[in-house]
Amino acid sequence: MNDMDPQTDHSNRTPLWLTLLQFVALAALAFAMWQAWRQVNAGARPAGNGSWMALSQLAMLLGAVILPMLLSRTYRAGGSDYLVLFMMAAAGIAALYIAPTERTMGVIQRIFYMHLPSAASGFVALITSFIASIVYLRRRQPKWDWLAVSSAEVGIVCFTCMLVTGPIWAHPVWGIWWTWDAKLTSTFILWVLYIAYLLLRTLIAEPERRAVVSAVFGIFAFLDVPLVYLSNRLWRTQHPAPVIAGGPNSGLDPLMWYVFLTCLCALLGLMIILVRQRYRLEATRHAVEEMNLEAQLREARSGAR
Amino acid sequence: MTLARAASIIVAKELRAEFRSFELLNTTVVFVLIVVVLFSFTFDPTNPESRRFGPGLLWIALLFAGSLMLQPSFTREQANDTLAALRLSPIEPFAILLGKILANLAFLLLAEVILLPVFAVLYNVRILPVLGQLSFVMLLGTLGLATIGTVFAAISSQARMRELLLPLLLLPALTPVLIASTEATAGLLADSPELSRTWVVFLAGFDLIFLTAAWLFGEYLFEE
Amino acid sequence: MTATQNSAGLGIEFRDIEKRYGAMLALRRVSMNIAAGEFVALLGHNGSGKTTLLKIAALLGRPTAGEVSFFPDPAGDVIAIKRRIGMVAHNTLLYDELTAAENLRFFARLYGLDDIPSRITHALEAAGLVARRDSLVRTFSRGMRQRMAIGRALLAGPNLLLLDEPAAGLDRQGLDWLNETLSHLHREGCTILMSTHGRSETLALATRAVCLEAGSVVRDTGPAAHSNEILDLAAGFGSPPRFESQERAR
Repeated sequence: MNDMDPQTDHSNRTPLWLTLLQFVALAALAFAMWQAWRQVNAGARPAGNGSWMALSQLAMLLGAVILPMLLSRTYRAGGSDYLVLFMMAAAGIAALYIAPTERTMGVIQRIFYMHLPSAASGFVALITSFIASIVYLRRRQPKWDWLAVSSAEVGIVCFTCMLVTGPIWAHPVWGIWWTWDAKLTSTFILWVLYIAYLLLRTLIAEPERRAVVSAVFGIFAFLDVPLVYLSNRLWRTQHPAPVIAGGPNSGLDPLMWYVFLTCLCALLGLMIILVRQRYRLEATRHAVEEMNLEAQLREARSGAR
Repeated sequence: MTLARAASIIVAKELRAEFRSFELLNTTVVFVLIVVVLFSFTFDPTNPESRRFGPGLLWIALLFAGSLMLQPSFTREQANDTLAALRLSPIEPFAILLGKILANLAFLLLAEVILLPVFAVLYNVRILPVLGQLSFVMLLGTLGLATIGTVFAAISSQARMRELLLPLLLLPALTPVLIASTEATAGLLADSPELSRTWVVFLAGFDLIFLTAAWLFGEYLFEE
Repeated sequence: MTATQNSAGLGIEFRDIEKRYGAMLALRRVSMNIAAGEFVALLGHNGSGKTTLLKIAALLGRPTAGEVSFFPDPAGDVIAIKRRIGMVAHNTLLYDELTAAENLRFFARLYGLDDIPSRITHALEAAGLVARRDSLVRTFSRGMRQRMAIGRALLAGPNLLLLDEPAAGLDRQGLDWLNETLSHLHREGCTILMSTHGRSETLALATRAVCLEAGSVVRDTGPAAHSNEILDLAAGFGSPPRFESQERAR
């Protein structure tokens, strides 16, 4: 059995000062966002494209989320992590400062640069999960199962982002939180569906059965994705309602288009490193199981003698 | 032994078992009736405007009923491990799945045959003029419910909390069927009835896609 | 008694079979060759892997590693092989909500048998259940269910019979019938693989014993072993197992 008692070994923990800093940063961020949103809701148009408040919010967000990752001793931050940090910073600055303010909706429209890219990266994550499920069923190598669950989880996170930014955008513009817009509703349904996928996994104990059964479910869930979007779109053409994201092709300024691409790449990058980290977690879990098995076998062999 | 023959033998067995006790059919019909009556307390069914809700209500009730009564098709096979007996037999694994999909389809259609007249009476809709087309729409929609429902029942029978899990897996996945069937049914029950080609094609496509997926991947659910 | 379809039995070979259930290793590198026509007794404590091995032989479970093959059978068509296998498992594998005759009819149809009504009658007569032909299996006693289960396994005239503690629940009459049936099948050339723990009369019919311990084969008497030897081995499964020094190094 392992000599090191994990309860007393603190060498790998994030230092306390960093954790406290993280909480302070998040609290400040929440407060600042609330204030800014109140102002936008009341119709304020800040001078210039962005504001110092927006910049400080961005800095706090990065500080709260990404810096602990980089400074933590257990997370081995590599080149790609710094790259994504840079891309996120660039995307934030681009969205807040470089992109022109939209004529009709004003400043709140900038949330579109997070709304649509998060939906797109969520979708890419789900495609990955789908392909990983199929490959797992043919080859039965555990690593494909790890990839399937990692990308499904991160896909849910991306969709959560999209579902949260949607109402935030809708409220100042139309005065209501949820417009039952086709894309938003479809994403909500698929969000619930993939949460059901995760729930299914927790309810099957034996690892191989869990992997096989959830792979089949994952395949069916993904095949449902285009059908859900299509049915909601068709339904909405018969029962029209305000549309939140008119789509990037509906008359986007070229500069807006570049900003959109920057944010898209940044969020895709973030999605990829999150999937990678989750994948490593699964791999480690598996390695621990293997070690336990070895220990059991050794005990059995030595006990019999 | 062809796939069709093996599946039909299994369908025959399921029907024979069910027609002895009618337990599944009885509970399904009663459940849908209860849901339909309960919904009527939330709005006034005699109001012509509220009659618009009728088709949606019918399909929601069917979906709920389905998500409850589809589970036994696999949990009944766990009692004496008869699923192992089926897997032992010299038939391809998809035959088991297909047999159960068709049997569940038959049960659901039977329940609908009983429920449709009751629904027409309670909500004052005229189904006789459009009976043929309505049956067609009900068939397509129910086939989607039966296909995905049976596959997901096979999935949830291998997990814990299966009676709670099946509705959770099934209802989000079936929203396209709900939308399409409701719209198609509403179109047929409107004042000037018409069969919506869009939705019928959509339902047919839905059924085709998932039957194919069940054929390709369903057998993996029957390993050990 | 239905004769085997063609009197040639089915041989079975296990090569380095490993079966894991999560963190538990049920079978570790089991290798065994069972020739057609052998009557093998699988001995071992509960949890030694007997049931798992039988399931893999019945093509019900996929081994985590290794492979199982049947001979003579160059084609390797899984469905054709399944037609020639009969199994009596831990569970009865019968539908409680159907009658005895309906159960047999269902499985007879699935196995593609002809002349089904007479086969059913034959099977029920042999199992002594003709009087309960149209009763639901739900109403059967333990012994009757076991007899039905055995009758079901024999319905298609198997070339390979897999039995997981077939004597469980049988009364004197049932046991006599089981022994008589097995010895008849053995004479006809059917391969029989039977798991049991402890002494039993059915064991006396076996010609080979394989002992499993914690998922590995610890003792294999080889074909044509004397029944006294087999019975002695079986008697050992009530006390802690002794490790034989002749453990095969595979």
